[in-house]
Amino acid sequence: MEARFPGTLESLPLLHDAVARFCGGQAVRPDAAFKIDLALEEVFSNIVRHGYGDGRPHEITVRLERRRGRVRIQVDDDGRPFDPLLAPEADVAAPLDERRPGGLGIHLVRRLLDQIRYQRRPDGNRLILVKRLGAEERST
Amino acid sequence: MTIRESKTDSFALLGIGGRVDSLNAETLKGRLQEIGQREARILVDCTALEYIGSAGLGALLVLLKLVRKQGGTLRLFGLSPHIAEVFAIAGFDKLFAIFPDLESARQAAT
Repeated sequence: MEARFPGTLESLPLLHDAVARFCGGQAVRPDAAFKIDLALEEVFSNIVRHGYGDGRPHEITVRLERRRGRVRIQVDDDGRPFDPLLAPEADVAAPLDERRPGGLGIHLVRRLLDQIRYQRRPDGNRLILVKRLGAEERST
Repeated sequence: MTIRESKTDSFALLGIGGRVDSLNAETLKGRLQEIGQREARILVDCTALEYIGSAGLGALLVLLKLVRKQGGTLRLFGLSPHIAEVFAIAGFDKLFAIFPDLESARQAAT
C-alpha cells in the first residue's frame, strides 16, 4: 500500500483509515495493527510539527508492505532535514513535577516497533520502521 | 473522540471515548484544564477509549498536575490492554492511580 497525504494534522483520520485497511487486508492482528497505527501517527505528527516551518504546502508519502513475517513502513517527507532519532527522549521514570510532554512520541515509537532508521535524501527525509509479527501471524 | 461529564457520589465522572490523536488532543486538553480547575475529585472512565497517542497522554498529564496542585484526587479506570500497555511504556502507570472498573475506583481509600 502506498498513499500520499497532505502534510497536516487533518490527514490523521485518513492515515488511520489507510492503516486499518492495510492491516485488515494483510491479516495483521489487532495488537500489531494498534502499534503500527500509533507509531505512524507519532511519526507523521512529528514531521508536521517540526519538519516544515516555511508556510508552504507539503506532502508525506506512506508505504506499508508485509513481507517475511514483518511489516515494513516507509515514510517520506519533503521537509527540512529532520532526524527524530536525534531528538531528546522523554524521561518516563521522572516524577510528576519533572515530567514534560515532549519526547514521548518517539519513545513510544521505539518501544512499540522493532526497528527505526532515518535516511536523509536529496529531496527530503525517509524513515523506515519495522514491526515484527508474532509466530501465528507469520504462518498466515 | 467523545467527552462526557456526569456526577457520581462525590466525584466528577469524566468519560473519554474513541480516538484521541494529535488532531483532537488540544480539544481534550482544553476540556480537561477547565474541569481540573473546578473539580477536585475526578474519575476518568476509559472503557470506551480506543486509542490514545502521546498528545492525548500530554493532555492527561496536564489534568493530573492541576488536580495534584490543589490536593485533589484523580483516578482512571477501564483501560483496554492496548491502552494499558501505552500507559506502561510512557511510565504513566507509575504517575496515575489506575483501577479495573468504576466500583474499585470509587471505593478506593483516599
